[in-house]
Amino acid sequence: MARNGSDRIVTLDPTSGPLDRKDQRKFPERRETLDGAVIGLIANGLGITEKLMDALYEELEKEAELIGAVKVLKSSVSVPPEPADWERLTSEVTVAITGFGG
Amino acid sequence: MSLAQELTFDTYDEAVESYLDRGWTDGLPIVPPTPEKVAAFLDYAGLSADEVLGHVPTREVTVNAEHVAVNAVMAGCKVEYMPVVAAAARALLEEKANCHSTTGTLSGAAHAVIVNGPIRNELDINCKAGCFGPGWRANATIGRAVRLVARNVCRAIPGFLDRATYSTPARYSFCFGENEEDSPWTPLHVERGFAPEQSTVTLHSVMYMTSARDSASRDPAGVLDSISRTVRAMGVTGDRWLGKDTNVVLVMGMEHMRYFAEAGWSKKQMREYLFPKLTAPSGKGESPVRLGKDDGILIVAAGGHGMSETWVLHPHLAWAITKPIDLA
Amino acid sequence: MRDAIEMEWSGVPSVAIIHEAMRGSANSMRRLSGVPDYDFITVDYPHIPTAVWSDDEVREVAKEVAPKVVAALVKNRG
Repeated sequence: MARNGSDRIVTLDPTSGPLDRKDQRKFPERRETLDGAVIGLIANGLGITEKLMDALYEELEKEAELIGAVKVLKSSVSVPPEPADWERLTSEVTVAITGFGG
Repeated sequence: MSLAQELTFDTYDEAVESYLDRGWTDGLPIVPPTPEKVAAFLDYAGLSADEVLGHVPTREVTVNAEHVAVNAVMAGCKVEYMPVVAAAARALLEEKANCHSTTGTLSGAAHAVIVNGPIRNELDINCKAGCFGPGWRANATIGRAVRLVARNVCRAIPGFLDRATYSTPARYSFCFGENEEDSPWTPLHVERGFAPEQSTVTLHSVMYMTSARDSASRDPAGVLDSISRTVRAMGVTGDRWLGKDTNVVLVMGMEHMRYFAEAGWSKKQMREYLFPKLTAPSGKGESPVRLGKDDGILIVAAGGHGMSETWVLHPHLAWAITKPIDLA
Repeated sequence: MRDAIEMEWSGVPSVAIIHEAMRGSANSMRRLSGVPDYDFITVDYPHIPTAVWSDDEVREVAKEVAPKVVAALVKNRG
């Protein structure tokens, strides 16, 4: 038994560190309106996600003069979009919507 | 010198209680991970504390050997089990083991740790009667160690990133070996490309376990038809990312196995018989079986005498990953 | 959730739609990602997260969340 000084027991923290951290990267400024925007729709594939994204785009079209959409259906619910899709999203879209889940 | 933060307690009991209070256990008391014990575990496995065993990028997690050793001590492992736990941790952190999803899913998937090779006998890993349950220190603590790594290191904490609707008792521990000695077949690890004398761990996510109980059939085809019905009832998950290399594990017990031994059926023949039946379009009351290849069906001999059954381990979204157990 | 955060880091204003049942998971991801105050939109019951929704139900949810999506993506709305 590890002892520190007299009868004390020393042990090790079993975790990979604190759950909270602070990321310093800045988020981009919001636009005045969605007019002229290309909407990124990132569907994780869970349940009705793809249909929901389509329906949501239709609703947004009623709100603003949209240019179009880049819709990505992820290849698995819990992984990021594939590199080629990521490239398209980050280079072509003005704003993005992800879902649906957690 | 340890990488992990040290904690100091006045008594052994205080340490045990503190780990429970901090949410660092599965609800059962742990063995306090002293720096000396952790160092002994690392030394036995020939690992340095800072050796990286893998990552979970979406969770900002890098898993090193010391993390795994600390949790293996806590689980109650003997020092000799550390190479098995390290191999299982490496498997869990393989990309297509999909740790983020399999340990966070609403479905509460568990992980089966299936051991092959000589180490099963050296460590007394139960492969026979009662192999899914309690009573064997190696089975109980190796499986528990893997779950504690998922919880403490990979942050699969219930209510935090673990969102299981029910979870499962198999998450306390689920480890067994293949009964290579009584099996008429090529062992799992040899089928997956390893030498018979190379011990391995195969880690398989388990969303559901169902029993293909069939006491009536007396021949391979009859038993396999029952297994097919059972697999098709709950299905096999898959998606574009996992592609064709998905797996289902069939754990066949002694009573079913004997018909295959008598008829001289190999695992390969069994797979060839099963694959078209499993992957035929699903009907009412069935779920899709998303297997891309017949060698995605992994057959493991284990269990005791008595019940005429084969257990189906239906996966969550992951491949079954086999890793060698490196002995220092 | 993490995809939305990663998109923001890539310079694209984004928003995640989360089911109420997954609020805890979304909270956890934003904490782990170092942005604990990053907002998201929720869909609540009676819409069950893993159920098969009818087309009408999908449209109903879309109508409900659309204004919240706009508010999250533009200045001074909502």
